[in-house]
Amino acid sequence: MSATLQTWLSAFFTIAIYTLVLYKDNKVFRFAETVMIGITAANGIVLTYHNYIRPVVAVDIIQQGKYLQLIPILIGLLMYTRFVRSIAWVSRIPMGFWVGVGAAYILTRNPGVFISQITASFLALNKLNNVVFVVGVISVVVYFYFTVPIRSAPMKGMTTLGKAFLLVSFGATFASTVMSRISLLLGRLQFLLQDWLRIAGV
Amino acid sequence: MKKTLPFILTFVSALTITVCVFFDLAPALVEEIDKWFILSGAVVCCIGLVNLTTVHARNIKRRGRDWDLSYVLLFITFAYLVLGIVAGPTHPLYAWIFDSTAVPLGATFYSVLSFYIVSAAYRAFRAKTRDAAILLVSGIIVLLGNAPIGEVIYPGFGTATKWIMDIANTAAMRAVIFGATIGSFITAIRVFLGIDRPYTAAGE
Repeated sequence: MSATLQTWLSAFFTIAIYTLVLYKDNKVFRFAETVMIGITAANGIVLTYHNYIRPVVAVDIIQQGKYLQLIPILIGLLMYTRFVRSIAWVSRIPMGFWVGVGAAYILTRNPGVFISQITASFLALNKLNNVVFVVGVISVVVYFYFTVPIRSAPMKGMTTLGKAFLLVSFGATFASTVMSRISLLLGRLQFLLQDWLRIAGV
Repeated sequence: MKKTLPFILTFVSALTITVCVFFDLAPALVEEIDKWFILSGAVVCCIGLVNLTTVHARNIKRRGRDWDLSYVLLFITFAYLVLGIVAGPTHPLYAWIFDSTAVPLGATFYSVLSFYIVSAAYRAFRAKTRDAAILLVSGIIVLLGNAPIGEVIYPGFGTATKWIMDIANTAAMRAVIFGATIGSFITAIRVFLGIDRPYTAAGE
């Protein structure tokens, strides 16, 4: 297909989305939104089908005769019973399976990562940065300690310090998000000016 | 039956994996349950499509708001779905449509947030309290440290940004992860023992 047509389509959809902020909510914006929803919904199903379902059905079940693989397919299909009110409760069966497997994953596979994170957090206190880091971790943990009311002055000081660490972190995260969004905006403007209108040099 | 059967399945699947992993028994069984978990989840991929179709078919029938766009949505979704299922995601036409629509639309949608984030920043960063002042200072340092102009204004912005990201931000986020992980352990144990049964609301 034509690269020019692709550029024009991309430009149309880019401008259609920007009409929301440059003008107001309008039909062109909602059309672009509709296209986005339709394409991404279909793409999600297509990728899932070709990456997970088709290989199992075509290779494992049909070619190799692994009929046990029909069980997870049936478990998954039970989820669709929620659209039939009289048997909607059957959809709890796959949910029960997923919740059970998920809980087992958390209990069996997270401790390794968790323990290594704890070990990595308690650094040798031989540098100022290490001291700040360890104090930061402990103070934020204390800030999230809700089991008993915190009344003593040192503990209150720790919670205040923990809150300060969190605020610094939130400020930094917010700034990083602003930077990434502005980079995307610049990328779209660059596309409109250079690739589509060809009025700005590379 | 309606509550017990799902709980039995939860308990059996959780117990099987936990015992097998902790005591290093039957790794093939754990691997098979892993596969089942992924495959059964993949089969559910169309549930959103069923919902989408139901909602928009109802909108068309009732001539609701933007009912014409509901037609467009259903046509685009099913046409692209059929193309993808029949031709595959690597087909040139499939990739061309994706690159012409979803790629620019996705990037533009995220970039639109930059307009709103500026107004949010104005509200959040007004240094009226000590907490807001900390947010403001940290945010400005990281913004300037990441922008080329920051190094021109003051060369120390880069170093300060690195310190904030590596020390203060990592320490705070690590502690948040500790809290979340402990919370997930407790939830997993409660689910395991049947104290929490989140799946019982399904199909109500």
